[in-house]
Amino acid sequence: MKKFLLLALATLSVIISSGQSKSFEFNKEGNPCHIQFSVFAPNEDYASKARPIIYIIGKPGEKSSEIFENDSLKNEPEFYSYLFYYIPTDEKKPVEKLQCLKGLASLSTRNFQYGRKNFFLLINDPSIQESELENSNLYDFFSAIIFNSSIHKEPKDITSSFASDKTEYAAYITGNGKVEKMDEYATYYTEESETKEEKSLPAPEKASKVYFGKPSKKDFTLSGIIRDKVSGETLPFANIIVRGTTIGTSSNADGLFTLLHVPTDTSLLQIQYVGYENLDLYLTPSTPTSNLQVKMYPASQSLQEVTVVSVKEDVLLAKKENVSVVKLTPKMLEKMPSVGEKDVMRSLQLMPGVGSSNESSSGLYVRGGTPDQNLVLFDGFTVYYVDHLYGFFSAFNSNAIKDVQLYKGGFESTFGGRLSSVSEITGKDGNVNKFNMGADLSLLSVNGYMEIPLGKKVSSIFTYRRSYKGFLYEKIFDKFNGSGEEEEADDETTSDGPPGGFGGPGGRQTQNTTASSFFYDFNGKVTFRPTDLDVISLSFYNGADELDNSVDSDLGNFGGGAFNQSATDITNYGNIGTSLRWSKKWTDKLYSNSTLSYSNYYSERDRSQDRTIIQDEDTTTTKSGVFENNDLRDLSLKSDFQYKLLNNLDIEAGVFGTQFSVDYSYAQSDTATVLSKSDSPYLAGAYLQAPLSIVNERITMTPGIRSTYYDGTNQVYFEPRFSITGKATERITLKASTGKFYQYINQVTREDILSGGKDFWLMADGKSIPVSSAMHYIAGVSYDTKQYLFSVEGYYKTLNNLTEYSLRFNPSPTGVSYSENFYSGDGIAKGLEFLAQKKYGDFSGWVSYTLSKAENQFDVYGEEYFPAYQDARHEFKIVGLYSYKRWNLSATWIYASGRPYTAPSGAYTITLLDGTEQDYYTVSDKNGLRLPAYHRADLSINYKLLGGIKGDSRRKEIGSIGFSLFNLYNRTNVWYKQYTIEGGDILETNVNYLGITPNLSLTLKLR
Amino acid sequence: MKSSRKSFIQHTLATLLLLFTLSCEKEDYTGVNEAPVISAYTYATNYIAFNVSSQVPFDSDQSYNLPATDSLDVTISYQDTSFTLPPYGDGSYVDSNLNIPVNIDFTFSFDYDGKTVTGTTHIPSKPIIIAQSATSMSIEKIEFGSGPGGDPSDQPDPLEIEWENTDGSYYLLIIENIEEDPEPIRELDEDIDEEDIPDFSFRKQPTNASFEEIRSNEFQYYGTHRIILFHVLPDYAALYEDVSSSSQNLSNPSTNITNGYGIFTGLNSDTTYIKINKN
Repeated sequence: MKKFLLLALATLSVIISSGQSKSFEFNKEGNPCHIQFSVFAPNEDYASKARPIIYIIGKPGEKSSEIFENDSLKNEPEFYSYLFYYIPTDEKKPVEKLQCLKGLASLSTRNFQYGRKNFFLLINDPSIQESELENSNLYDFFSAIIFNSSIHKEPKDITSSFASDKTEYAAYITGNGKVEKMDEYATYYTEESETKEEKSLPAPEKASKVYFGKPSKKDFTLSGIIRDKVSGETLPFANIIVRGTTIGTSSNADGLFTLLHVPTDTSLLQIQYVGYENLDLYLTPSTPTSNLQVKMYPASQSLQEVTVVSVKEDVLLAKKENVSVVKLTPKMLEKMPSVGEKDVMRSLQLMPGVGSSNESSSGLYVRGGTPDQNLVLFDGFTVYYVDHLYGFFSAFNSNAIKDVQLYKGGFESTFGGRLSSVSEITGKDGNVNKFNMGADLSLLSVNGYMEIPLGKKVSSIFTYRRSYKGFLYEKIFDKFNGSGEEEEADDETTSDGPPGGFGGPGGRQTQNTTASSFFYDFNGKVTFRPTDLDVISLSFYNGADELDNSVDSDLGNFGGGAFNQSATDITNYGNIGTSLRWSKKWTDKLYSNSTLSYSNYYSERDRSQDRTIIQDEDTTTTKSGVFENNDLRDLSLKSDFQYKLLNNLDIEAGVFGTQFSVDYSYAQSDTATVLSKSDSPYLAGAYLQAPLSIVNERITMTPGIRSTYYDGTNQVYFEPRFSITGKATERITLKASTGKFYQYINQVTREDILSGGKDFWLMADGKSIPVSSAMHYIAGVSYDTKQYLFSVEGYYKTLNNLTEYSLRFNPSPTGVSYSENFYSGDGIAKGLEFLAQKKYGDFSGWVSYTLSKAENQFDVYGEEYFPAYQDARHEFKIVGLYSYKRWNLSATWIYASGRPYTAPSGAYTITLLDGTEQDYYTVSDKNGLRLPAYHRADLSINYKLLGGIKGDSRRKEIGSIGFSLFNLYNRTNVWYKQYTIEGGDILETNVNYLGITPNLSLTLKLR
Repeated sequence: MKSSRKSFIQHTLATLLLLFTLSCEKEDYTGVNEAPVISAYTYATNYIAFNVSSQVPFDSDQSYNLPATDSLDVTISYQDTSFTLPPYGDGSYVDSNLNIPVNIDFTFSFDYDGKTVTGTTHIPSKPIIIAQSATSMSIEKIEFGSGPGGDPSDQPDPLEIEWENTDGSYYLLIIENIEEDPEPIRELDEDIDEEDIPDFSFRKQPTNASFEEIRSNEFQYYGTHRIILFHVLPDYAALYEDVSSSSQNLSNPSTNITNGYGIFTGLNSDTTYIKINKN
């Protein structure tokens, strides 16, 4: 049989190419089944093997070119992506004709997907009778066979006969014709093959057109839900467009979408979601117009060399139709290089306009803004602190995340309370189909997750990650706590060293650092979908760092006892957040989403000395040192409503309210509190915005207003916002936005090197801490092709009433006052961002360049503007991702101008009353100097692990092994500079960021 | 059409780029501050120790052109009185015949580089020790190489000092051994480096409480110790605050000197004694 096919292949040769159709020959002349036939593909794609075919047998005497010319089906738009075979009947007997047809059809459709469901036969030869077919088993091959000698008169009958209402398949036809049923709830790969014949195994299924008829509905409304085919997770913010039109929409946070004005029910929908294969969905009259279930495949490069044409892979989508929005999904995260963990925030730092040179902060410096000006939402609750382990890792476990959207500026009225940007993170709902679990092991942490569906309506996911004191953890921990030079230098200037008169730095004791520092995070989410239009979910998050740098003072080599006392240096900080969300799609036009959320950020800092005295049976412990505690609680309720008022006008409105409670205390002993602040203001407000499309939906503008009453200042704040996008051509989009933004809560950063919990939050009070505000002006243009995206955006931001804080003694005649240490000032940030991105293919990635400037002016430092701490003039980033068979390679290179810093202009020493000397530094202009430029390359290699044995036609992905190198060429990047005075000179020491750091990871999963 | 579109984009980009580039002015933020450093304590015993020095320059190529620190006209004035401090050499000016009343503001000033360097302070009220839990304490000799601490229950009670503080003022305790050649409580290694020999004095942190506790293990030597309770001003207490030495958060140290750095402060003290005996 195989021999025959090979022989037949050899005889199947192109004779001529007739311009429009191509002519072929089946068998050699003289063979009883010698056929000269024509093939035509209206879309000129002759290579696809995932398409329907119509075989047309001509009338007696017609040549193949004549059948082609007389055929009108080929001109019908519904058949645009079809392949046509025009087969003449010549002088053969009907039985011979059918047998020859069978041979030709079998050969020409070898390895085609969807098999008979896509093959149709139209017989125009009246000599072939239906009864003859019954013996020919052609019905096993063709989905429909139509007899019609008057095709040109009644084409309707023919097209409707080809109709099929099936839009999904679970069956595949393999190369040898065997039907194989797969477990559809897993990601599969086809094994690399060694022989040519086996290379063209079918790829994962693709939707294709199955309906050949005329449309039955026009200009109608279509709604549905988009899900991950494997896990059943809904996919938020996916793009859905009607091909060839400007009609399109995005799915909402629940994956639900509504498309108005779909031209016909035979239109082609194109659906895009980052990290998933683009999906073409052909509508048919029997496609449900509401609650349509759309299932997308995670992008998984097929391992075979001959890949299916339509497999595409989106690495990053700088959303062309939104102003300043970038998107990230875990599917993409898996491929990006990292220090040791797949990290959402770190990956966002590779985007243009987001600062990338601060290794010690996972927070985002977006367009000259600081991390506290970036609103971080996780499943609707605000996360106030995003750092793990001194900021080297973010607080988010990528296994729990489904989607991340970063709004870099000019964001909609839906969001508020921050000056700069919004990071909206959506957690996974968990596999709705099957139980699943998996685990990651790296040199930094262990990470496990479990997805438990309960019936058809409830899904749940639980993830837990905990660091361990491995090589990587130690390396970073020691950066901060090592007994290196900087540590000692700091000791010298720390006057609250162990009391007992060793006189500061002299004590060279043996120090035992307690090995109990770690971080962990836990995510849990339960989602209940009573109907496809209702979603109720409860999400819980708890993440914390416990950094213990305590030192047990051992016996030293000098007299005097440090016994019975220990220096404690413990920092505990973390977040607890939870949200209860209910969203409902009331009608195709009305959608509502309500969230009740609670978020708590706490930071407890204890840097003190314990003295324990045991007398008889009584134990007395006294403590002195620095105690700094911050406890922020946020209880919020928010309701959003979206209503499609008119065809081109949506009304989006919402109400929100938050009750804050912020405690901050700073004490020097357990009895002497020097600063204590406790505030519990609330805010409440509403917003309204109305996206409006005009000029044939080429221009979309969104005017909006947000108003907030803030109890702390007893004022109402109005924030008008406006954005506009216009399609100059199909490929060029122009966009602009502006808006006013207020912020009522400030994160105060104390750059205390020894302290992990250096950030705390304080509410604006309108006096020492004013409500800060910003204006954004953004304009940009993007040019989008199938393969590439080019984008330029410029921004200009003014910032008012920024607050800076320094906790120092502030001597005054009446004692010490701390409230005077809040300084306020203004800022300006401006920049231009360039992005060139290759979106698809084995090789993808992007190049970005940002030219920017961020300056502040605080009266306390003078009238001049000075560079803000996060100011970097140039930032250049290259991200390259390459897939080869089971290997994923990725590499990044980052270059950023050096950040500004303040250097001493001089120093002096004061002899204190007890005879000890204390050093002080006088400083040059604020941030007047620049660190050397920051640059770094990272590399990561990932190899997929497949289940089954080599040689299996299809193998399930069960995990991966990864190896990454952070700071590939071991660049010495300066973090900050440390100063010491020795022998009348000021010595400057560079404290550097991480050098070359390798990491290994192993990922295993059930499905 | 296509080429005009392309050139439009190019022009827009070029213009934006140009505008942005033009808006970046040249930056020069560095600056040098040559202000002198004052370290001056005025005691209620009518004694002032006033010292003027120059800063250590950050850059060794850089020098501060301070006038000779010994030839300044350092004037002290209070109420209607005004006088000049006599130079003592090395930038020091000392006068032990002051008669400045407690709680009366007094000011120093001298001219330097066209600016008047000045500062004001006062002598705070005399502190009064109202209680001392013991006048002597017995501590066991600790042999070289013995373990840490021994039995904690063997330790004597800490010494408690209590004083009056009704207004939240700052107080500082300094304890110094006044023996000529005191015997260390913990036996020293014969090969000990000189710098590791414990100091004869130690201090507590400035506090605005009204009592302090001195534990037995804070004492390093046997013999009589003088305990001085200083009533200090907030300016002085501020000197003990953490001082950063990192480029991330350098800022000028707090000072009460105008056109200069350092400290100009008044002090008042009370004294008591404790004897540490060998057990």
